[in-house]
Amino acid sequence: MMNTVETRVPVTVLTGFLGSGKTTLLNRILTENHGKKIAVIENEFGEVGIDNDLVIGAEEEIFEMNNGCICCTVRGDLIRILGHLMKRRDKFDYIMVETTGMADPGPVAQTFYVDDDMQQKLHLDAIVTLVDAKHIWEHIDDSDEAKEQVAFADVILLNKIDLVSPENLEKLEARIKSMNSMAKIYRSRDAVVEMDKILNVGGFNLERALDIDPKFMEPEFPFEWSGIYPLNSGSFEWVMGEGPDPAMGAALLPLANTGLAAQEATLMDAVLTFSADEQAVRAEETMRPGKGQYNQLVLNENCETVFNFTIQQPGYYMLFTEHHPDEFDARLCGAESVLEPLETREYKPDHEHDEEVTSVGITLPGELQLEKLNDWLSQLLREQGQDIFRMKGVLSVRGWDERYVFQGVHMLFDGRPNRPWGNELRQNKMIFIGRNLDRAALENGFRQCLAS
Amino acid sequence: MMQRKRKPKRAQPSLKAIWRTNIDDHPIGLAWSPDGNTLAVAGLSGPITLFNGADGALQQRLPGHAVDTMAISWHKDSRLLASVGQDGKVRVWDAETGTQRSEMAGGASWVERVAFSPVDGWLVSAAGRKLRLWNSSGALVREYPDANSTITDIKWRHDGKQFAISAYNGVVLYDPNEAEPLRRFEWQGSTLTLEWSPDGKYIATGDQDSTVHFWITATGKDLQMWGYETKVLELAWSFNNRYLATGGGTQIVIWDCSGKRFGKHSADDVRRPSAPHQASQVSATWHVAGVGRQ
Repeated sequence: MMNTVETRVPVTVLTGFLGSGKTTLLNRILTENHGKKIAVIENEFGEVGIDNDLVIGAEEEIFEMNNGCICCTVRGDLIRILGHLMKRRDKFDYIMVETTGMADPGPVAQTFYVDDDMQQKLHLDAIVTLVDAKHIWEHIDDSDEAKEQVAFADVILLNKIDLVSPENLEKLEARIKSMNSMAKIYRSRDAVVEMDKILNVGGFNLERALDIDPKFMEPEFPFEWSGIYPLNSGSFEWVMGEGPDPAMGAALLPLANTGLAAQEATLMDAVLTFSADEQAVRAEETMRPGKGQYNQLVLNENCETVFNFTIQQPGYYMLFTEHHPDEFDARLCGAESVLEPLETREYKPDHEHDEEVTSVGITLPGELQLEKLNDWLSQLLREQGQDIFRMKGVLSVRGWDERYVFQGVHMLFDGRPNRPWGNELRQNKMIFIGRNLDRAALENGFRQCLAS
Repeated sequence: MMQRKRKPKRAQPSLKAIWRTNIDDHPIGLAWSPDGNTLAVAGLSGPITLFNGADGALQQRLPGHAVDTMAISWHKDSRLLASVGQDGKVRVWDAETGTQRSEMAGGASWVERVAFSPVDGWLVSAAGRKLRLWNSSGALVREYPDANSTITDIKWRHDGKQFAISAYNGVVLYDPNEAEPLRRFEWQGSTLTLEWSPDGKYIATGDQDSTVHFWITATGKDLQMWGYETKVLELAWSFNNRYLATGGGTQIVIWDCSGKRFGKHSADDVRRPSAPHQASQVSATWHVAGVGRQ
């Protein structure tokens, strides 16, 4: 029925900031013996030139259509170049499109759905994003492009892992998963990756939409790190170097014992403390321990900053910091030496930035009512389509024996019935990746679509 | 199927091949010399072959462009042929001797469009956003300020007094004797191809957003035709200015541009697709005057 033989040429879109290793990867793809003839459209100039007659340079050119709808924003340069390339169809069997480091992947992806020729002759296989594991931190909070490239990806390659510590790598991976829980994440150095991890991935293939596994997010906290210290009474110093921010929130709370229940209780105290009014503490000033004492540590410029505090009551204490102490080379010093925490814990950052990119995965047993679902999705895409980068789902619709699978890019939506449920439990799985997603509202909206 | 009162006579094939040949390559450009004696065929891989129009005999094989020829255009005297390609060059060939007369830089790595004036020796080339005017001996007459985006088409008015270019954001008219554009027909959309009506009153464009746009050149008034299945890349006027044939899908749509009402339609007269992304469900049959060869 719909399983016609795919004659369209697969296209992989390669994104990533300048310096993330795109050219290294491209060179690898072009020289490695993988049995494929790959044509490459290069958007980024500079770095290392690639010598191959199937490599074509392009200059990003974005076309917005007259109806002002974001989903009609396409890449004119790709339509022209790919259109021309397809006349040499016999020369290659795969296409890689490299975007510039500052490219928005949205219009690139949409080009393959909006333009008729592209749709007939090509199919978008996947968006592969290279991340410079060391330098991504300089962009990930502030750059829309970096966030979009992570959010749109089907495959994320954490590259240059030899330049970062294992802890930082874990942290980076956790951060990336919170933004895009759909993507497969691999680690690499010198962009060494098996070709089947990045080619023919099927990221936009409805058949493979079934593979999705919406992960529920852990609760978010206003701090990223905590450490448990046994402290005697006396004076201590909390020393911080320079870091990504000029100030950092911190709270030092007593802990009854090192058991889990006690830790959870102190954790709740910490959440409350971090929502209290902050008190600025400058160099050589005294940090206040205790519940409700939300210290805003103001750092010196160009040198270390020392904050003092005094412990009256000996015992366990839990130090909560807004950022990971490693980002500031921060340490707790006793009278004689640096104190190591007994136990540390990292938390998913609760970023309050307006432009935050996250994934929302929802699993819901039961059957949906088609009209309600259509109404909800149309309204959702109409109102938030600009902020929804990718979505995928497998749905159980009342009256249908088959699973309904769909995927979308912004407001472009592609869905159809797939194989029958048979004896399997009918349930609905959906995943959204986007900006300013309201998990509660999405869950609620989705639940409202259940057939009563 | 429409019900017919009478069964139509079975159509007899009326076109017979005079000659056939092949160039062992994907043809990318096909152009008759103005005197009708020679047919030039550009192959994608570069070479340009000239055939005798009467019998298909091979006249010349020009090397063309080392990396992909993109377009060709004849000079009015049928002796010179201009070509552009992905080697960044504009080349002018002597069709009689098969030698290259001039080689010019188009301004970017892909030179995609070239057009000789049908009346004078002017030659216009477009490479990306670079628009250049040359004389027939290959001297640069003028380089225009960069267009807003890649130039998608260049067409001379039939009297050679003006030429028009299309790009994202519409059409710009030029007089080859002036550095400044005569007029801009702005449109927020990507214009892919343009065609002057033979009398120069209209410019029709085919657009990325599955529409055909008309401009009345004297007034700048425009109208838009919606409902095509696909983007529109094929446009052809009849010699009497009356009909415009358009592609844009599996149907050929022919617009009758003769009526008094033409140019007075409001956009509401035009059948719109019910939603922008369901254009394929809508057939573009509104206002069809006829199909086929006029």
